Amino acid sequence: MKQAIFVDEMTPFKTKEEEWHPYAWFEDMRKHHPVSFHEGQQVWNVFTYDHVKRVLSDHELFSSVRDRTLVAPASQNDGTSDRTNILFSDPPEHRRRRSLLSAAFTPRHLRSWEPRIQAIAEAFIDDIDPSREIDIVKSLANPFPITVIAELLGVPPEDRHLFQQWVEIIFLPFDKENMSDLNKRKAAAAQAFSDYLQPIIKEKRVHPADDIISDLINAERDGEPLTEEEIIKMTRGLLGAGLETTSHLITNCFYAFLYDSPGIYRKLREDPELVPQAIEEVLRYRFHIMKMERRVKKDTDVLGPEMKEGEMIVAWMSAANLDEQTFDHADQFDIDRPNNRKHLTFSTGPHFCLGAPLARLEVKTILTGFIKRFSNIRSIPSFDLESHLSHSIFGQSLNSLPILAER
Amino acid sequence: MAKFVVVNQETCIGCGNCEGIAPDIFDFDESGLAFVKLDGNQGIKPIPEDKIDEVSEAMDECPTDSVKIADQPFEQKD
Ligand code: HEM
Ligand code: SF4
Repeated sequence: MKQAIFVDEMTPFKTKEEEWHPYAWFEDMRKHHPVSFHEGQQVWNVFTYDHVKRVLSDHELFSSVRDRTLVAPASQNDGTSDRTNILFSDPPEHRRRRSLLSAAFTPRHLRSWEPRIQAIAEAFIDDIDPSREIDIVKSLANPFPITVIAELLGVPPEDRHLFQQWVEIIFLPFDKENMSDLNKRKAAAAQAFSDYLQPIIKEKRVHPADDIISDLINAERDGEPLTEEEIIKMTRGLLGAGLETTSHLITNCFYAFLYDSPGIYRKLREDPELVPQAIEEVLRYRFHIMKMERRVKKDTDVLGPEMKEGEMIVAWMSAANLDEQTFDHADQFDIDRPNNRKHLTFSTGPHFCLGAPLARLEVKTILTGFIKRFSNIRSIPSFDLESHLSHSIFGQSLNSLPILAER
Repeated sequence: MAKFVVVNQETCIGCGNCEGIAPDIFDFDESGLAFVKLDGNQGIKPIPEDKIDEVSEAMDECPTDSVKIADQPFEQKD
């Protein structure tokens, strides 16, 4: 069973809003405590670009095989073999696991899905009524990624509400007070998800289609096909890795266009080709509290202090993304910076996000569609940030974002 | 000066960055790994002048350092 690392114990934020703008704390840590050990949580924290990059990518020193994590696991170890878990493995084993999925996520493969993603985006945009307030979270950011992934997995899109519920419970963040209750709810949701998926897998074994579940049915591990259990786990893993992240990105794009860089929307409307670089800048600047942990694999002092084998280390990607040594005027939102793709929000090294091409494509498609349809967006004067924030695996996320749009 | 490029498929994870940056140079094989399509990933055909910047950016942004650039053609392994 995996143990939690409680991030809240290590950060100084007093309000949700402070956590939404963590930049001053990041700067303080980069400048004054770039490598620091937190006694209470017994973990190292690193904040500068070079350190974060090293920790994420140097798997000889910093391993992904670990028993403590920030990421709430789907459910407790249920005894089946874990030969499909991508996230918690090191090369060369990692490579064999990842290859079960990687072909399906290459940009070339995605190109064949582009028309399907485009059609889904258009349908959501058609449903937007600009004569009233639009909640970006409810109308686009939440339902769009889940509909896309349902389509790609090959499950009926009308069932998306069902598995959205399960997935929300399965991936609820750690809660120190209610761990056992939470674990029970998670186990029940995981069971419901599995019961739902089993007949779908059986059906696809007989009638394979062009979708990820069919790919997984055909995939082999050590010369053997994956078990039903393994297919379910991998599917669940994809939902966990790909839904909240992509929703968060869509919402934060709109937030950044309204509040971090007012006026940028008009510029994008004039030249929608700029959308991809705007997305990269949101990933750099407004994915504000991304972090990932590793386990020290052997004693080392490459980052300065002596770290002992087995100790945990948290790499703060969002702090690295604001490092002046790598990004000029790093504290400003600027879609024209030449190196904005250097952000570490998708991680780096062998675990670099498998879904990055999909996330980039999805968000580009929905934003471009929206920008072509609506000439401008405006904020709501009464918008109160604090009351729109909720705790999530990324720290604070917007639970709703009301805006106005003009045709 | 002529420049040459190959993808080290032993370490490539098929993340898509290189192809996103230089789509005329990189593509993916059946197993989802990147290769240089100029010369079937042999590293013997010079990169077209006007693509060198894109290819260096791809090298910079490869998360696994698998994009290799050199001033000489890469050795042939048979
Ligand atoms: C904006 C959206 C996204 C962000 C910011 C994001 C971020 C990340 C990060 C930081 C990691 C690396 C973890 C590590 O270094 O240990 C990762 C891994 C992963 N992501 Fe994403 N992700 C996003 C979207 C997606 C999507 C859409 C999918 C798939 C449907 C996906 C699937 C995965 C998988 C399978 C891994 C594990 C890769 C490995 O360990 O080799 N992600 N993601
Ligand atoms: S950027 Fe690197 S890891 Fe990603 S596909 Fe290209 S060569 Fe492979």
